[in-house]
Amino acid sequence: MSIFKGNNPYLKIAFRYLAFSAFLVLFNFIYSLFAHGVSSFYMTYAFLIPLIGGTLVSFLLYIFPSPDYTSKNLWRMGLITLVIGFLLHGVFDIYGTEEALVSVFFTVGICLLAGSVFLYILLSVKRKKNQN
Amino acid sequence: MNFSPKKSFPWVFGFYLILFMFTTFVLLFQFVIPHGGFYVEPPIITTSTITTTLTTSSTTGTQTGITTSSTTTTTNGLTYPGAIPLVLETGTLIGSYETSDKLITVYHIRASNSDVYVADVVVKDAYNILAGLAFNTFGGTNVVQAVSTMAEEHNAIFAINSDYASHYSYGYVIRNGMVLRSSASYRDAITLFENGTVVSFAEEETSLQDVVDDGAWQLWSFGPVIIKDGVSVASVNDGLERSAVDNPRSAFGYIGPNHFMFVTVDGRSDVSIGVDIEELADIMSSLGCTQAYNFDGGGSATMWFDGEVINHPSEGDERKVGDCVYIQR
Repeated sequence: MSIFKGNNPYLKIAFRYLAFSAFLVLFNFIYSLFAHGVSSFYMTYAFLIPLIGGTLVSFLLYIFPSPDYTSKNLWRMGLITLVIGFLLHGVFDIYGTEEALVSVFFTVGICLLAGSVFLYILLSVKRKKNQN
Repeated sequence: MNFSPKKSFPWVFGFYLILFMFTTFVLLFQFVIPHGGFYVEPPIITTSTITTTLTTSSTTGTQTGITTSSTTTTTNGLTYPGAIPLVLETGTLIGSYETSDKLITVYHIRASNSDVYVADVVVKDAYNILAGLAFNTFGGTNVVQAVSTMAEEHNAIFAINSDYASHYSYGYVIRNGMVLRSSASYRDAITLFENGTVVSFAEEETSLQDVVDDGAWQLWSFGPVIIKDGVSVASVNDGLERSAVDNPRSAFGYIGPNHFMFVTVDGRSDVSIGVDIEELADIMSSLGCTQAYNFDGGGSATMWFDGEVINHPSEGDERKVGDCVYIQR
């Protein structure tokens, strides 16, 4: 069974996230040109968030049950919040400063992802029960 | 819980709107909006030594507790200790300033394809080496001033940017004898003591109280230490990316008691590419420094002497910073 066959709605989403990852790689590259040799772990690896949380998870959803609209939105919000947190942390790292408010992005992002997973499991179990 | 796309649109849209606004706020809060900090009374030191021949009045430094005195006649003149480093003899003299308790000679030299500005400073005692804070405030964010502004406000003859201590949340800070921050950082600090000597140390392994008890007058926390006890300890592989890159730099060097070198290297231009941390150590070694410490560099690297910025800050204009070292007229 190939995921490229048929009308897989998640294939399009997977490639969108892949494009977003590529954009983050490019963003990091351009930003580093003006960073006078200083880089940031957070900015360098920000691309992994949409790559793993977006592209990889989208492919997995071909195998697992589809999430509902709310779960999908919470997941997307979580990923975007984390990406922004990573980018801001990177900008502050390169500038050579610290900002405690960045931790808000990490906390909110993780809570949104956890909420999404929780809702997804809850609805999957409910759906299975209804089928039985 | 399963909202339809139509029903859920407002909260999805609302979330992204809040996320956008909060992100904008964080950026403005960090880079634009001045906030925080506390006022620090500037020291009142009219002349720093008691070795004067005639004293007309005396006052007590409000923050330092050091009794100081003003004079109407000159103190004993200073003589330059030892020989002028060869590298300075071959450099270009920019200017000099001499009073009874301070000798400042500023040179321009070339090293590592860069323009290097050196202030060779001899003082009667360490109280002549003063720290200035932007708006006399410490610990705030975006509470910044140009080195030249701070210098003029303090009636300085010489000033250089220092460690931009308020840029960080942690790290020991002592300015003009006052402890402004007592939380240790992972960095190495350097201390100028009241007796005119200088020592560097790892903050995490050193009690601030011990440093205070030993008579710390200034303590800078930026680094790295580039020369310790006469030996270059600078390495481009010290784990700090900024150390390995050619950059504008500012540095503080110690020759012997009450004899210091302040250095600024221009960078990021075709004429002057800047130096990495090892090259900076080489420059400080060539000046005879037995202790040397890297200050905040990049666009912050600024040296000011007798009314003008003498180096070429890499951003064209002076970058506003949180603090400086200065010597009063």
